[in-house]
Amino acid sequence: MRNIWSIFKKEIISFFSSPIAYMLITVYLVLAGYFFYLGFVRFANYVNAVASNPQYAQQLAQLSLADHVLRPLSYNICIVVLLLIPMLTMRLYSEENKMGTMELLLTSPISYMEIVLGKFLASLFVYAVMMVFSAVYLGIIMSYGKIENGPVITSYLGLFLVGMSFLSVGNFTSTLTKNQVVAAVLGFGILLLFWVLGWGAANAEGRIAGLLASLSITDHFDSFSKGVLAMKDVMYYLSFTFIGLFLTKISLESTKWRL
Amino acid sequence: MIEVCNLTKNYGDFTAISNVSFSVKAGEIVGFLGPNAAGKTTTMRVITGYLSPSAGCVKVDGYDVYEQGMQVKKITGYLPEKPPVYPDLSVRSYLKFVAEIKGVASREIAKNVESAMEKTAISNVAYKLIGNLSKGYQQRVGLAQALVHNPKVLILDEPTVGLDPTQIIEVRNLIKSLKDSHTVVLSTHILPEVSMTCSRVVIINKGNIIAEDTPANLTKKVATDETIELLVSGVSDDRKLKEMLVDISGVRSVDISYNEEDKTHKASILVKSSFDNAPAVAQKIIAANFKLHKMNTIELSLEEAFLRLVNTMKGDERK
Repeated sequence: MRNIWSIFKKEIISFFSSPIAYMLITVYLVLAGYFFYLGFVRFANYVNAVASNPQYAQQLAQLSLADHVLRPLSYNICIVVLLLIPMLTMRLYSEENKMGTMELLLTSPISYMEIVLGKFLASLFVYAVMMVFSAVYLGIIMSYGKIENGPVITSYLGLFLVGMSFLSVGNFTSTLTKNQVVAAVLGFGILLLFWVLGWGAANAEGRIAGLLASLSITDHFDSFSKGVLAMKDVMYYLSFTFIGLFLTKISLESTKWRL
Repeated sequence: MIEVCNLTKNYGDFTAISNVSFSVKAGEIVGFLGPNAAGKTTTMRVITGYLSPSAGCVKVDGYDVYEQGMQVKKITGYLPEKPPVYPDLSVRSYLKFVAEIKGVASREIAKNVESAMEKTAISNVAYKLIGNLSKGYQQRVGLAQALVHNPKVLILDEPTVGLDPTQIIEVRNLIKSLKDSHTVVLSTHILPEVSMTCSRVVIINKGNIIAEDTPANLTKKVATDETIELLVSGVSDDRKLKEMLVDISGVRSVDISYNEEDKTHKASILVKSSFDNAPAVAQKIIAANFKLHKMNTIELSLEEAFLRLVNTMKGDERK
């Protein structure tokens, strides 16, 4: 436990003493802010158009911020972090491989699991900081209108779980190389593939279609953005993270045998 | 303290070390000597548990490196070839981190970090970022890292690389001072280092141990020849001098060179190390009315002994 904390602290210092964390948080906030602006303005115009026509009075009552602003926004954020997370995780292990500090970690009396968890939790912390900053947009929504709590909570929970899955892939690809760029590109590749996997379901038949759809990493996010907490989606992200971290550990163990 | 038996490590088809066996007693300083790519680093990496051996076993303080790796790692300090430092941490926070993951008790961390910095003379840069330090300082931070948990066993891979001459002497003295309280294995390809710091030398080449002894014994063993050097003036004929010297019993060959500037001849006489006819050499020179300026015996240095060992092995391979 203490070792996980030591690794965690060290990684946090590294993250925030290099420009990477600041840069990623800034890029994230700019992009998410732009998506928020687009969604909010479009919703406002739509509401105005509907309100000016008395025929649609009934529809006006059904327009909700959660459905028309929060839902597209959280989906867009999901795609933005898919693109940013490999850059957050790329140096976690590759830098240690390159600097030779992996030799220090692996000759110290700490287990592989402690290294893996320490590093994963540190990257999760930076990701959580990103998410906390984006609560500004939520604050703006709340100050101009009413929004149900349910979808807000599930959207955040969903983004957290999606982030964990993305991070676990990024952690894994970083163990495979000494080169940060290779780690990032490989991470992108795997995440993009899981994103578009569901698109293939339209052309496939029967079981394969079902399989493709249920593997897709973004399809499982739908229910969260709707305000529904579905066990199968929570389990999907948790198992995805678990497998990612498990592969990370195996890859780390194998340094003993390769070179 | 360290027991290595029949250790073999292959990287695919390439055999880095084959059937290496040696042991190190507690309190000893053993030098691991060999040319580059001889297998020194691989051996050390296996001892520290960073790599798994292809065959053979390693025991440190009675613990098997493979079976009880955690125990071994707790009592071993390791300085790899490249100091394993994080450029974006300060020296103090780095050493604190290492002390933590090496399992030092929380209340002793500060004390251990201070004493490691004192021993390696880096207290003055405690708050600087490691990335801003010179190579020599980084190397010393690496050394401090290996010492911070007061390990019983120290494995140092080329500890003096990148240091300036004063620092090299400091580090050598430091290593010597560690004797008794620690068991040290250090690797190097610099020979004087071994004769100055180590109580025993293991010479390794191409993955095989080719000799193992004290530096003095090793030199003696290989030194079957000695050279006697003479500085003579007033020599009219080179050939006469040479014939005269070759005639002395026990002399194997004579090499004569002439120095124009101070008009002296230098004669290098190759003799067996058991040669005791030196007075005869001096007598002959004087009898011939030459002026003898200097006469001294040159013993084979460890460097030459090492080269000879390595070359003998190459000769064996050709056969």
